[in-house]
Order: sequence, then structure tokens, then C-alpha cells
Amino acid sequence: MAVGGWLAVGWGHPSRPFVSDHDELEPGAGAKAKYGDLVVLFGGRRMLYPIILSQGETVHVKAGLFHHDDVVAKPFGTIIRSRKARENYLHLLRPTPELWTLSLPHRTQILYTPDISLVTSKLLLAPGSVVVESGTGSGSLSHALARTVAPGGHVYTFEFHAGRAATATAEFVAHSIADVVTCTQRDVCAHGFGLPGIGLEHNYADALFLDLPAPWSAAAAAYNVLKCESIMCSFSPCIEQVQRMCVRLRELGFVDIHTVENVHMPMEVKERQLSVPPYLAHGAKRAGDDAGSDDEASSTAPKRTKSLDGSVRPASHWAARNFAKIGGHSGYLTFARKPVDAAPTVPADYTDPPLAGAPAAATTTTTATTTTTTTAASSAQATSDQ
Amino acid sequence: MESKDNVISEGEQVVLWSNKGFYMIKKASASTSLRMGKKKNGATLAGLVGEPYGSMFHLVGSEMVRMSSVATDTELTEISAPEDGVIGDNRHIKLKEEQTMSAEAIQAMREEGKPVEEIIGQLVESHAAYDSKTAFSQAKYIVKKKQKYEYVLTAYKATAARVADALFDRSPRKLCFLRPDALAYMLTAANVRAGASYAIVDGTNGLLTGAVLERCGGHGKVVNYGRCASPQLHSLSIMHWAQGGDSPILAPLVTTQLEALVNPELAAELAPLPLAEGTAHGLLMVPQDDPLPVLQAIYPILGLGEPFAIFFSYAEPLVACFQWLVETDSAIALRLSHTFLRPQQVLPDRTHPEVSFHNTSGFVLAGHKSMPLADDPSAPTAEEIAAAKARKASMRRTARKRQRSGVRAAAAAAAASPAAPSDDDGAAPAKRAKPLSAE
Ligand SMILES: C[S@@+](CC[C@H](N)C(=O)[O-])C[C@H]1O[C@@H](n2cnc3c(N)ncnc32)[C@H](O)[C@@H]1O
Repeated sequence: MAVGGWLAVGWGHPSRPFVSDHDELEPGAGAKAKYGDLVVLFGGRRMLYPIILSQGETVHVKAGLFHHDDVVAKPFGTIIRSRKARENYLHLLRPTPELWTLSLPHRTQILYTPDISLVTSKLLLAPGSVVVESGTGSGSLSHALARTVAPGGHVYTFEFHAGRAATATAEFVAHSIADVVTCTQRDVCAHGFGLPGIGLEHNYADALFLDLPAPWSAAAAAYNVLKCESIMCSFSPCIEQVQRMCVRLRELGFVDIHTVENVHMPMEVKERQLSVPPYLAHGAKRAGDDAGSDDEASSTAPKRTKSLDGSVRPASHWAARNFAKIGGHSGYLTFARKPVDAAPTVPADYTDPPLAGAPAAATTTTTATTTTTTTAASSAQATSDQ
Repeated sequence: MESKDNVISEGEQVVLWSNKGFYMIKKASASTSLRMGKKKNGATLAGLVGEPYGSMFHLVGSEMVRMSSVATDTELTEISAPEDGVIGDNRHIKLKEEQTMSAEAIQAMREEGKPVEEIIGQLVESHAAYDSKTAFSQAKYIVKKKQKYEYVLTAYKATAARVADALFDRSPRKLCFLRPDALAYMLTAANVRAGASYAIVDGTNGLLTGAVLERCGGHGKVVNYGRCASPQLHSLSIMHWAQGGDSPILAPLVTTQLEALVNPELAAELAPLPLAEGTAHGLLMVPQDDPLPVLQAIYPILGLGEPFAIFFSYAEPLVACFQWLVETDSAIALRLSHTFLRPQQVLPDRTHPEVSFHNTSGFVLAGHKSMPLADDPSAPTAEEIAAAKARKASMRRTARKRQRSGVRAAAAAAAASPAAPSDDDGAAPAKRAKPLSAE
């Protein structure tokens, strides 16, 4: 099949790894890596290396030294070899948000694919959705969200740590998704999600996601930024956080509040040698057998793969079992919906009531909700480069 | 995509959540009448038309009438954490439910159309043991009775995720047991996004195809490889965006037959085939049949390096696929997994995992298609491999010698990571990619 879009992209222009250029189908067969592209070199579990291809560069990893120049013009899925030790190789892959999640430089704890999958589905995301996220952290979720809401949608992600916000923004630019994701440096617990520069204040988000240590301090702001009949999700590793968050969500009038734990269980698949013990093999000596057959039974190897009833047992089996030890807990996901007939915003004079057992600093934070406060606070705070 | 899209229109399929704890998918229309318990009660869904999605409706007479959807279930939360910290106990609890109000009396009140609050008030009054219950179980009693005597529906827009929830709740068998969270995982594992092309084997009557189409947002190509000439796509037709018939979101859909991939005559008949070999950006399968032959037939369509995700309710047939992929050396990042979605009851001082929930209903095999080592044009020659082996053996010998002579640290380093980044030349060949387990 001729794929027109591919020729149009042309050499020298990095292709967009996480979202496609939608007017044409993405290149299929024979898509090749180019200078400027983000690619993933894959050597196995925990051996994934994301690199941006540039002329003359090398990457030195466990499997050896690899030259970027050897990667360029290679189709995805093929094998890249180390020049000096040619028996050493890695596979070249087109990056996906999932591979990025497994290989990104960690600045924080991140969300992994099983949780990301559930969040994406339960927030009903699709191209065109507008999602608000905080904190950005290492951008693991942001990349996956960008992939799903493009084209036409947008991810507004907020991070109060200057370095993390800057690094995330730089990554979004390098990965050519800066038109889909905007990172804003902001303490959302203190200043909410208003985006004065873009004219967005209240009721503009189709979905919202929080991964914050004190999500309840951002709950009122979350309520304001969401459209009615939109869903939010809050991720917390500890049940105490969940408990406080649920109290606050109920107070604010969210409905369908429910919490799940998504335990992803990887399985070990292996070829196993299972031997039939000689005394259980077909033709083995049994009580009452005459002594004559004894030698034969124990010395003829193939017989050992036959069971007592004469049926042939395979010498090996491919089988699956749960891994004995897994990363079993990531966090709890709490979902809540802003009802369709809810007030569009919390009352202008709303302040969070104290929350039993919550850290003092978080409960005293006032969520700015009136137009004037938010605008003033945000313009002072927002340092987005977008 | 604003307002009008968010209002239920006449004849539209709507996902309904009943307060009795189950889903339905029904047409919003005066001609749809609801069944309650054993008898048809005659209440119609006429009342839904013209109201926004997300609204709640309750039964008034024989009509479903819109009510406020602002939270009503606050009793349990408020009661559950007692202010004085004393939870109370049930040492004085009466062992029998001592409800003196007769079933007939309750029925009579209901038929008179008395509000539920009034009926419950009566029930509480005529319940001999009510006062001996703890505050929490009193609240629970009221919630339970409300659920019993009230009939409330929440109307959701039929998006893929909602339809998946509803269909799985109603008849998981018809979806080959594809649980909504497994579907969610497949969509990310196969990197489903706008503007790319997907090959699909859909044993879910179109739910899988619909979910992929929704994530493509009208951009790309979604090819359904059916078992026969006219594939079953009933679940797809339920999606709110598919109900008009020619929606832009349906545009990427192409249906063809799986058989055409192996039967040249049929291929000629159906030509041109929608996807050439090696051109799909992703492969998603929930096969009704043995997954391995299906995978073998469709795998050539998938582009090199592209991801795939296969769901099956039994692990063994996926193990067979895994084995084939490993033995033909045609996939990397292989992982077989299942999820365990554990809902939690979260109430102040009464948080615990829910008592009952759906267990795992199947397994997902995911990975990326890769070039077999044997096909690599840049593969080292036999001599090169022999030389590398010799080099490695000599390295090992030196390491052993060092160990014997007591240079512990060096030996430990060599043993722990024979291919440490420092010794590029002597690095051990990267092992055949091991299954990748997602963290
Ligand atoms: C665990 S990380 C989020 C990881 C992210 N979900 C991912 O997948 O990469 C939490 C982030 O929230 C940020 N954060 C905490 N409190 C915040 C606040 N009040 N406003 C904005 N960001 C905040 C932290 O700096 C941190 O980077």
C-alpha cells in the first residue's frame, strides 16, 4: 500500500514519535529512523535506552557501544549492532508512551502503564479531550495523555517544582508534543488551575488527574476547572490520603466516588523440563513384574517420556505462572464525577473546612476561587513557556 | 461537540446504571418500557429524552422523571466516623429482624405513591430492634431500604468505556470475557492513537473495534478481520457516535475477512486488501477461536517494531502464542499478564477492600514485532562469533585467575556484570530479550 504521508515528512525533519500527523496515515512498513528522531534501543527488561539521534554521537550501555549513525536509516524493529563487538545487539523501536514510561529519566515516582491505562479509559479520553493534570512529575502520564487526546485536545499539566517543570517542558519540545501538552509552573493547592493567559478559568476541562501529596487541597480548584458531567481521578499510594480525599470530594458535591486498586500481575512464561521418574515410566519394574525386563526399562532413555499408561509425555512444556514476587501496589485510584446539575463553581467565599488528621499546612491553604484572586495569583505564578 | 451532543435524543441508545446495582443499555424512547423484578412495570424511558447525559431519573408513577443528581448517599459517611470516637457495639442486638410492618402494608404505601422517605420512616418506626443497632448499622439499614424501594437510573452517554462496563456486567461471555480494564490495557499496550492503522480480530461483537475507533477520533485506519463476510458489530453500533450511521469517527473502519490472508482466491475476490504486509501500526486481538492460528495468519500484516496485544480468557493458548513468537524469534518485550482490580470501600474508619468483586477474567499477551536474528543482514560471520567466544572464554579465565589470586573486588565486578559498560570490547552478547514485565 502506498502511504503518501511518509514522503511528505521528508528527511531531516524529526518525525513526531508520540502523536501522528493526522492528515495522512503514519508511515507503516519501512519507516526509518532519522537524525533528530527520538528512538528506543531495546535490549530487554530494564535495558531500554531512549536516544535522540544526532550525527557522530554514540551511546554506551550494558550491551556495548552503539553509534547513532548506525541507527539512522534503519527500519524500526530491526537489529542494531555494536561496531566493535558485532555479536552485541539491540533492537530499534519507535517510541511509544509505554516504552517512554519504562525508559524515562526518573525525577519523581511515576505512574506506570497499568494505572495509566485505567485512568485513560475511566476518564473517557479520546482525541479532542481537554485534560488537566498535576503534578507533572517526570511526565510519564503526560506523554500517554498527549498521545490519546491528540489531535484537537490538550493536556494542561501543572508542577510547582521549577526544575521539574522546566525539564518536562524541554522534553515536550524535544518530543514534538509541545502543541498538545503545556506545562505550567504553579502550586495548584494554593492557586488552582486557572489559565488567564489562555482565557480559561472555570469549567473548561473534560477530565482531570491529580497525583499530589495533599490532593484534598486542590479538590475545590479541581471542581471549578472541570465541566459538569466530567470525571476526575486522584492517585495516592496511601489509604489515609484516599480517605481524606474522599471526605473532601463528598463535601464538594462530587458523585460516583469510588476507589480501586489496580494490581497488575505479570506472569513468567518458560519452557520447563519435566522428567518422568524412572519408576513411574512406562515399562518400569513394578511389584509382580518378572525380573527379566528390569535392565531394559532403566537403560532405554526414550521410555522415560512415556507415562504409566503408555501415553507419551513431552520432554518439555511451555507453561505460565505468576511471578513469585511482584510490584503489587502502586497506589489507589479514586474516581469522582462532577454532577451534571451541580453548581458550576464552589461559592466565591469557599474555604476548605478543616479535615480530620490532615497535615496542618494543607488544611489552612485557601483555594483561590474568585476570578480576581485566581487571575492575580496565577499571573504572578504562571511561568509557562508556551 | 458541545451541548446538543450532551442531550439525550429520542431513540438514542443510552447506558443506564440502576441503583439496584446493574447496567442496562436501552433506547431512550416512549416505546421502551422497563422490566422491574419479575413483572414489566410499564414505566417508559420517554422522560429521558431532552435531558442532559449524566442526569438521574426516578420512578414516579409509571414515568421516569429527572431528579437532582447531587449526592444523596451521604448518610453512611456522616455516621461512620462517630464524633466522640465511640463506635458502639451490638451486645444488645436482637437476633431476629423485628419488622412489624407487613409486606402488604408496604406495598399499599408504594401503590399510593408515598415518597420513599415516608415509607422508610414507617419501617424504622415499626422495627423493634432498630434502636438497638449501632448508628452505623442504622444508617446502613436506611441506605439498604432506600435502594430497595427507590428506583433510580443514571443515564450515561454510550462511550466505549461505558459500553464496555455495561456489556461486561450484562453478559461477559458475549465479550469473550474481555473485562473493561483488560480492554483499557490493550488500548495502551498497542499504542492506539489517532492517525495510525490497526489490524483487529474482534470476538466482542464490535466493542474492541469501537474502542479503537473512538481512540482514533476519525483519523487513521481500523481494519476488522472478521470470521465471515458480514462481521458481527452490534456492540459498535451502540456507541453514541455511531448511532447516526455516518459519523466521522466511523470513517476509518474497514471490514474484511481473516480468511483472505491465507486464501488467495478470496484475497483476489476482496482485493484490494486494506492493509499490505508489514503496514499495521498495531494489532489487537480478542479471538473467539484458538489464538495461535489466528495470530499466525495476521502477524505478517503488523509492521516491524510495532506493538500488539492479545486477550484470551485462558492462559494456555496465549502461552502457545508466546512459545511460537519466541521460537520464531519474531517478538521482543513479550509479556503475559493479568490484572486484579480491587475496589475499596472508603469510609471514615471503615475502609477495607470490597467484599466481592470480579476476579481476573483473562490474560493479555503483549509485545513488539521484531526482526529475527537470523534475518539480520549485519549479523556477524561464523568466524567473528567464534572469535568473540574465544575472547570471552579468555576473559573468563583471567577473571577466574584473578579470583584465585585473591583480587576479590575485581572478580566480584566481573561476575556480577560481565558486560559492564566499561568493557565494551569484551561485552557478552546481549541476551535474547527476556520477557518484559511491566512494573
Ligand atoms: C509523584 S509526582 C507525579 C508523577 C507523574 N504522575 C508521572 O507519571 O510522572 C508528584 C509531583 O507533584 C508535584 N507537586 C506536589 N505538590 C504540588 C502542588 N501543590 N502543585 C503542583 N505540583 C505539586 C511534585 O513536585 C511532584 O513532581
